[in-house]
Amino acid sequence: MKREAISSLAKRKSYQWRIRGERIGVYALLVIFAVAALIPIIIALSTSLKTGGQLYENILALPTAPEWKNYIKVWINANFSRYFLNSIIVSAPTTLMVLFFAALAGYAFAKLKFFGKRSIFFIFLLGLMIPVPSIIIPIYFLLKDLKILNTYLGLIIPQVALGLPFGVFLMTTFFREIPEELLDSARIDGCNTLQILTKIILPISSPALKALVVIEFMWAWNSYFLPMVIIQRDEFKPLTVGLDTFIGRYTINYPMIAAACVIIFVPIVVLYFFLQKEFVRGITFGAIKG
Amino acid sequence: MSLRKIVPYFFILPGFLYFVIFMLYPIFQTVSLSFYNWDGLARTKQFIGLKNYLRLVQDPIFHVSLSHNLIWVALTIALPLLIGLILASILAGKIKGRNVFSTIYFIPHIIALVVAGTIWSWIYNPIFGLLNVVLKEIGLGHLARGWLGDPQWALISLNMVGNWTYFGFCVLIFLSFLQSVDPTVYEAAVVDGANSLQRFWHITIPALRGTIVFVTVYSTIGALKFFDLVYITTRGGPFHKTEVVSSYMFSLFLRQNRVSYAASISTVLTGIIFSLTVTILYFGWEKK
Repeated sequence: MKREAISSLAKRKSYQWRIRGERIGVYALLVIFAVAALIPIIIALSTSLKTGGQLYENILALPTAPEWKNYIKVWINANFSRYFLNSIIVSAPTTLMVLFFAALAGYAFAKLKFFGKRSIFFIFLLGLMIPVPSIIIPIYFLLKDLKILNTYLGLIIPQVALGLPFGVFLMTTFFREIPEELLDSARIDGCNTLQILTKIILPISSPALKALVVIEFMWAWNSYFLPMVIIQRDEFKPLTVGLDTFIGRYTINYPMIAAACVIIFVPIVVLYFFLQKEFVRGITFGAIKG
Repeated sequence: MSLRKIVPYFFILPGFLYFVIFMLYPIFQTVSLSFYNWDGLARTKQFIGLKNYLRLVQDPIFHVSLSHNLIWVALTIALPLLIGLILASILAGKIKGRNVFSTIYFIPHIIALVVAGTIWSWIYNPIFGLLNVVLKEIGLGHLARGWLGDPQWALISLNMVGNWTYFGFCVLIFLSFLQSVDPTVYEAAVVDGANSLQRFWHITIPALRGTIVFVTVYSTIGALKFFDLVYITTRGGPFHKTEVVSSYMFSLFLRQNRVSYAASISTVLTGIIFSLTVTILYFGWEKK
């Protein structure tokens, strides 16, 4: 009897150790991936504050005396202040226009009845599959004929088109969740179709609207292919194209290139930390309800 | 009476018109351009029928580029998608700091791809890059090489960068869906004696079926059309070893002015994306 009691105790203990081992292993795995996710970012930050000599000494060490001058050189001498401004001038209107078109269309798809609704919605969905290379050539020549190549408008116009399918999809999905009773009571109070949108739906949709704004802004800010084709003149280049130019000119000045990279990703990372929920909502909403 | 029926169109029309003019119509224009012989500058263009497509079929650079895209599709499904699935199912359990982890995993995804490519090109630097330095430190120095300059390793190295930016996205998507799965199913399975692998295979994966299909489609489209990573780092080199369809099309269009040929390549790309997407959706939806 005693022997069985002792061996079952021992089995329980080894079982507990196995569980603990499994737990430690699992957390170790999670931490490894977290570290892998962050290391390149830390390298960029640390490299940006080094001088050229310090870099070759030891890539892993953090800089002892941060060389903030790199940022000043990139911002002023390399024209990044201008590129930054360009990115804002292009990304903000793009985001707002997508929001405008998508909210209107999403409302109609979600809550209104009309002939051809399913087909038109399906066509919008097809837009999600259309890659930039498929349309870039005619767009280029269209913008050329309209003489708006190398202008902000020339970049904004196609970017809005590219962001529309996702925006419509997101808005439609979210608006569908709004209970009909809310709209019915508004109709009884005498609201017309447009007022239902502006007075009822939009105010309570602020999470979805914020999500769309955040996602679209990030896409516009990070976009590279489109501006590479459309903008050739330096004064209109957004940050991504500016980086490409910069690397071409300063090939081995890694600290400065690092500073440029940091300038590009910091605004979005900051946005992310403040509006995390909205980012997550924007990304996952399409996936889950779709 | 009839006003009621027209009003919805006022809401749809702005977006739809915009979409048709700047997205739908250009696709047809691209296709039509591909049947000509145009360099973008001449005033007139000759109709040459399917000649561009014949050229394309025999073009070794195109074949190489397309093969790279297909390899990328396979790698993206095999690595970040799978890793995302596993990490998400771990995080869905009783994990402390779940939000911290998923937040960190997502950060690479919000970094512009051109920035990611640039940063990783230093990590891959043969002399002072982190990777080679670490390999030497731990005694595996013989594995060190010029990652992005080596014809054999360039594509894989680049793919790892892509996976780094993408796995967090997969984690987020799968995690969000998993959190709506009923935990009692798992508890019942534990009581029945299922280990983690069995629980994963028989509960998690079927529950995530739709999401897995969605992420597969999304990954496939992304892997077929991507451009940024290749162009900012290697421009398709060395010797076209990292060339992909979109970067090839870009250089044909803007650097070589072979507009119509580039258009035919775009058309083929669009066709491939459409057909692969439909195929995946068809097989994914079959058992429903």
